[in-house]
Amino acid sequence: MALYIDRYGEQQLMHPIQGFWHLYKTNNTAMFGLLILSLIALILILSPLLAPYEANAQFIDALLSSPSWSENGRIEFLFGTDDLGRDIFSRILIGGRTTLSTAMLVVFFAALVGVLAGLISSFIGGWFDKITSSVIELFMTFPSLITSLLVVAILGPGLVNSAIAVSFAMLPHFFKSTRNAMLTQMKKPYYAAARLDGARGIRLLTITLLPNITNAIFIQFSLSLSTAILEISTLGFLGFGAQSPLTEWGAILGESRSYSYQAPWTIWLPGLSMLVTIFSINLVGDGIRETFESDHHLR
Amino acid sequence: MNLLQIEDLSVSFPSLYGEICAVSNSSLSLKPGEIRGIIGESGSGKSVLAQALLGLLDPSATINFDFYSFDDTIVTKSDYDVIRQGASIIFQDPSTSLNPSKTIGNQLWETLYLHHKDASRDFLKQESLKLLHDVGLSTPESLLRTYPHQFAAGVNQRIMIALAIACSPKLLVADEATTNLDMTIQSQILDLLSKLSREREMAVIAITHDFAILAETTDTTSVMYCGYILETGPTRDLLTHPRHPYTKALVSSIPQIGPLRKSRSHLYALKGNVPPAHKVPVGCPLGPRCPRAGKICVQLPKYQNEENRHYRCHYPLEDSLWEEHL
Amino acid sequence: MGFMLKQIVRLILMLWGITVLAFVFFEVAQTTLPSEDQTGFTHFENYQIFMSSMLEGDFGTLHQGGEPVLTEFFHKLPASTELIFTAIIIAWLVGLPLALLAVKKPMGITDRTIQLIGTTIYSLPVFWWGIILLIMFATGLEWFPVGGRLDYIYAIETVTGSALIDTLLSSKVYAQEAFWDAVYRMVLPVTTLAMLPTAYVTLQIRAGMEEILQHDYMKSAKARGMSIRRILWLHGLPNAVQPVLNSMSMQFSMLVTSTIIVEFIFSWPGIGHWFLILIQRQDYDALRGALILIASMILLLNTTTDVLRYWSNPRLRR
Repeated sequence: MALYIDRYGEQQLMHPIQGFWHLYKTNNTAMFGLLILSLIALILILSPLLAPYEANAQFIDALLSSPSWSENGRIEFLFGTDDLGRDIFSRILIGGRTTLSTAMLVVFFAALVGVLAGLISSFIGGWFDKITSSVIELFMTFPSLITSLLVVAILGPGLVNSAIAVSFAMLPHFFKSTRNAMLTQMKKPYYAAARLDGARGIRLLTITLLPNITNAIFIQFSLSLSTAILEISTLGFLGFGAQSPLTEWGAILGESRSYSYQAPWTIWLPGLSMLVTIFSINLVGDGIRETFESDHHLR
Repeated sequence: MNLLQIEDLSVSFPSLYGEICAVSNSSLSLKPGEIRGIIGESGSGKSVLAQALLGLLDPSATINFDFYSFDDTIVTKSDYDVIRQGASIIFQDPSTSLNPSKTIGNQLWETLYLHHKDASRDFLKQESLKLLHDVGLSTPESLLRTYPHQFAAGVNQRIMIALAIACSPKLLVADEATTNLDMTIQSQILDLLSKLSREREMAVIAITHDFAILAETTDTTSVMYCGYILETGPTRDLLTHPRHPYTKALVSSIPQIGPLRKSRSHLYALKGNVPPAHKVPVGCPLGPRCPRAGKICVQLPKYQNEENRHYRCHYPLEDSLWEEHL
Repeated sequence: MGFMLKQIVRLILMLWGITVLAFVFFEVAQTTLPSEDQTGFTHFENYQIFMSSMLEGDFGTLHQGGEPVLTEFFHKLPASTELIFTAIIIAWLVGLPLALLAVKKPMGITDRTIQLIGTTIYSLPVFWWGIILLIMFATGLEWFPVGGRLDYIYAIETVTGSALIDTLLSSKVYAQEAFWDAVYRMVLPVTTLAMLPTAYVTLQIRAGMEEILQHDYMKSAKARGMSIRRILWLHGLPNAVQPVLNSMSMQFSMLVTSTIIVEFIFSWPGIGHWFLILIQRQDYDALRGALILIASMILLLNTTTDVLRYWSNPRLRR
């Protein structure tokens, strides 16, 4: 007679999202990134309340005032002022809101169209897919900045137009990663099995395949966010993005460039806040990717 | 005199569930020219054990042992050079164990060169042709300039063996070396391994989960379960008269054809499943699944030695009992 | 030979595709614009005119000045190529050893530091970093000039268009002096430009090596008693480099994007700078020509690396 009852029943399996979080938590750098990112997001959401002044409020008596911690700095202007006497701290807060929200919209739009096109193209397959993907591949030989510059050149400068331009340039990447993921999945036996069971059309696409490529889309999404911020601010910097009175990180740097020597803080501080933001997004993005990749270790 | 001796080897890896012991308190000794089989279910730590012997594990692994000697030299945790100079390993999948971007001749020359630093080019070439001939490959001349991807798995495994014996090792570790091959190729490779072992006085550690391989090629066998070596002994003796209940369960699970075939009721199957690596029981790892277990089994049994048999069990099977069960 | 033929056909098809894409893009654009000269031609006729003039080597003319786009393009090209190639060479020279250093002890202190710096560089806005270097080293410490390719006091005759090679070839008394001036002026732009590809090469090769180290052939090489250094350099690297070479086209694209910004910041008279000026002038005719020429250059480079990769990889060459 056995002395012990069987102690190894089936393990309690976690819900995928729970399991994802369980794995993600163990990654210290990714958690650090998430912390910083949430902090930045909170600050930017609350920025109208936190910013001491209007973004375009000018203080004629305080042109090019140094940051508050330097010798000739003034306490009421934390990060100093620019050549028009505008408070840099307020401008960073309000400009960041513009940059980040535009970037998110851009990625969302690019993902929506790119993923849909990728899904349809790879699902239909055959000649249609061959032609579509070659056109997209051709399109990708144009460097992203050149594409978005051309779009802006035609539509004219402005925040909305630059957002359209960047999402236009970003579309092919979503198309490509979706298509690649689809092609991998469509080679797997479960797909053949589902087809033999009689599944077809929309059902096959949405119920059988889609859940298995969400990881790939999610990874592309998180990686694209930092690219979108960089590209939008680059256009802003070159003067094709947000036009005054709108404030935007790239535009702030573009305006400050001409007096960067006299007032280096007008370059340092907005740039550093950009760097920290993109850095934390990249840490989170890497964390998400690594978690998905190590997913098979989770039983 | 032992070629290889290791006492109390433990290997653990970090994981989500804390440190996982892949190999626990295992000792192993090997005589020169001995062919040792290591058998166990997947996940029992056979491969980890073999790779730990050669220091091939991921840096994240923690390796501990009390004593390790190879060929009369002490091996330390920081320096595996001694054993690497005198041992080689071949793996399961020959298509990934050869460097894909180098020609076969190139890979052979390199290994030979490292062991005969001042040999002439001609000598190296003759030597590599001889090696290829030794592993039973015809037209070795034409092979030298080809790449691994151009051959079938069987040929690649022969090349792999040639490469492994190029440094005239005293020990060859074959990590599931024939698992991926077709039946007929499998027996060819096994014959080749035992022939080489005899000719060169080369000890072999053959890791497998196939009893046919054990019975056919090995001199001695160790049985592993959940990271522990539960029983070691001469293969024939071990298979016909197992001492450890787990060995018996394994032996009974071999399907038989013909007159030896037992009726289903006689199959000696263990209850339950192999525990996941992070839930290995305290004490005897087999404890909760073992039909003979008693209260004392919550303590890890010490090795019991009996002539050339060693086993870890509080309630070993006696020869008489074995007859009864049959 | 089949491979070469295939590549050539592919290249021609893609070049043609680019002209179509560029044509459609600007044709669509022009219908949305208030156009000055409605010619009354159909789109197809327009395309025929466009193609035939291009086959004769006419890629349009500049709206201002009236020079042919093609001449202007090749006039500006050397300055950009000089930057890009120096940056690529630096990226590999610095990135390779760093990657191998990192992978020597995966997840050790060195490895983590290198990865952290790599991620930081990925997050660096190129335009910001360029200005920071300018503030620190050009206007601040005055170690380097603020911009330009060569001091105006040197009258060096143009042979190849590359300031470095031209000054070396020149027979003027101050040729050597001018060469160092050219090198000097390249330091900051090249540093800015090389950051991103260096990080890319480092991180990609590191990742590739880490994966390859897990392969059985690396383990068995180790077991045969080869030294770690030998295994890393001779067995791991040739296999780890492959995927990075695979993504060469992406690297070129990435570099062209940064080059535009760098040329803008450092007033470097190359393609990127020129392209920005064309955009500002809204010179669509010239832009179309420039776009086709830039894309063709990238395509040519991609095909070249594909061919090189094919010849260097025994698995592809059967």
